[in-house]
Amino acid sequence: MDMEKIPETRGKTGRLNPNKFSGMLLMAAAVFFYSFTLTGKWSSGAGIGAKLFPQLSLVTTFLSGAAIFFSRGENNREKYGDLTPLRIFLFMGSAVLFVLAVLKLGLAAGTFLYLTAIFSHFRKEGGLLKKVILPAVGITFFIWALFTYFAQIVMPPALLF
Amino acid sequence: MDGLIMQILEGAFALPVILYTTVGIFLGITVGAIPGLSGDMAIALLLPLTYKVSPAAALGMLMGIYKGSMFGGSISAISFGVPGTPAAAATVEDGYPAKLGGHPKQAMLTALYSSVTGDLISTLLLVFVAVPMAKAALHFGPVEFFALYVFALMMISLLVVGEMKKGIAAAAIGLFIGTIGMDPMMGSIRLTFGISSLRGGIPLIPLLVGVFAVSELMIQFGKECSARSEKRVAEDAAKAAELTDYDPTKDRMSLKIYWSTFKATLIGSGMGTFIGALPGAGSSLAAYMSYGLARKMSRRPEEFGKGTLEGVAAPEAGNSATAGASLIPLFAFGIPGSATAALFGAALIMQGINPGPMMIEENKVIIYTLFVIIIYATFINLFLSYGLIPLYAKLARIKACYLVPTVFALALLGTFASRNSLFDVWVLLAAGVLGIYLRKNEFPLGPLVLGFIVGPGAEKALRQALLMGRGEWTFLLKSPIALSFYALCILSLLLIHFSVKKKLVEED
Repeated sequence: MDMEKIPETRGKTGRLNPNKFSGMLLMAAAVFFYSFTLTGKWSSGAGIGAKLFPQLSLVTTFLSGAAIFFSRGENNREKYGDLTPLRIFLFMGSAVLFVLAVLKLGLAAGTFLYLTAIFSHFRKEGGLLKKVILPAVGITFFIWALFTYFAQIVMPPALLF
Repeated sequence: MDGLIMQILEGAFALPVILYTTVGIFLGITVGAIPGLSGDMAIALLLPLTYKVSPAAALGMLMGIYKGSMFGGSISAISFGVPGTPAAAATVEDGYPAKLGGHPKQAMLTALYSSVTGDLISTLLLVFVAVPMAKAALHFGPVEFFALYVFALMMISLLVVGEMKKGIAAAAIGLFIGTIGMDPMMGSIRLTFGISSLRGGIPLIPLLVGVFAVSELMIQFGKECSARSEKRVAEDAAKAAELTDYDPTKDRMSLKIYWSTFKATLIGSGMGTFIGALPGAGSSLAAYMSYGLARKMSRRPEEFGKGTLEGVAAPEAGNSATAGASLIPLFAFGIPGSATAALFGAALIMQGINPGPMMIEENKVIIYTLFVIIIYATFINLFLSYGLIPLYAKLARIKACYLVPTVFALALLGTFASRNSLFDVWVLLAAGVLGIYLRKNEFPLGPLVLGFIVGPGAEKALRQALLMGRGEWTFLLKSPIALSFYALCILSLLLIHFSVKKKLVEED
């Protein structure tokens, strides 16, 4: 057997090849969701016709996942190496806090607090007023004016403004 | 007839419409000029804000963003060698060397003029081709439409930059996500996992903004955390400062110079229009193919890569020519030809206009008004860009640490405000995570979004066709038009498969 043609399961670093992982994930997700189309769970009243298209798309997902799993290509994950799971969590967590702040405190107050926190986090040197407070005030005013006057969007009532 | 023309002109040249279109172009050039931001992202972000604006003004603004971003991307590509948008990557090849060679103004204006020429040619084609094509599509039944959807999805998956199987997987994921909620025929509930908010399906805007904008912002955030972006901008600025012996008298733009690049502009315009009209092929592919073809057909191919203006004109005309052409499948058949066209389709739906063969017939005034806006927007783009090039060149230096949180706040607020729904925010964040996973693993995002948008239409066509054929699958093959679409699918698949195989053999 030609050993060069056997796809490598692990990369040079010993970690699972990203393509293998993506292929497996796609196949597993396809099987998982397909099972719901068979049992009818979470799909009340969906007859054969209603199941057909989800099943077709899941079969395509499974087959393409298998093709990716067995492909010889190895992708370059280092392209976005800066984006660690912790950073994604931080980014998403800040988003949740921002939305809650806007709902509880108000559009301007929530935006100002969020921007101040992020700008402070990135500030390496220089004054707090010049690098953090003033840009946060300016951008908050821009966003507030954009939503209130340009788009005329009514936000839910909150504690402040 | 005269009344209709007057209505169209009044609608197109109303002051708010002109203002919104101009603002759109300004925003488009701005986001295009800033590396990391793109026209798609700006359109996705502004979609929720256009709810309350008149259809002509809203669509004019979104079209303006698309047109503006096409040229905007070339500003930082020529100034710093950093493409502002992926579509401008091919412009770097000759644009940046031309700048370093002492011709920044010539390179920038060549990019602008060729961009506008390509855009205009493609727009005129849209105006003259979409209407007859839509009329022909009125004779299509569910069988033909299903075949057309299959063809579109196939092309979307095949023509992506990267691996074909990942394109197909992304399209299949999009199709599956589109099936969550009520089914389009009987209204029965599917795959809601007990979440009542999912009964209406996954909302379009949060999905679009999440997949396109949030994932891109997360990448910029990661870079900023590593403090690399600042270093890179400083490096680019240092490189740009190397231009010490600049002589403005040797850098004047003239009609003669424009004429010398006209052949390359026409090649780019033709290629961009052709590629743009194909479902799935984006502006990046058009730019690279235009560049390659122009080099092949040039009298001085050896000068490509060394700063020749032909190498600037061809990709710029190519990427801009996709703007109008990518709307042809959307206007004629209701099938978006690109991710941007999909966003545009979403905007039409938001304005109560359903894309499809009946769209032009049912919304004559607004669609013809839009055609007029698209044409004059090209000229606004020309004048606005010409006047503001020096200012825009500085935009690329805006620090990501200010840009990313601001744009992210806009994305979150815009998504929440469109329906005052917290559920939409969670969908946005989940779509962002999905988008980042796909980007990290080199899955294209366009097919996912297009699969999501065309999925319900494809499903409806399939089920109607099966009902007409009493459950017989062979009924799908009984129409000659449908058969020709399937033949085109097989032919494209074989052509692309063998060209990839040939490339791999050459590499080995």
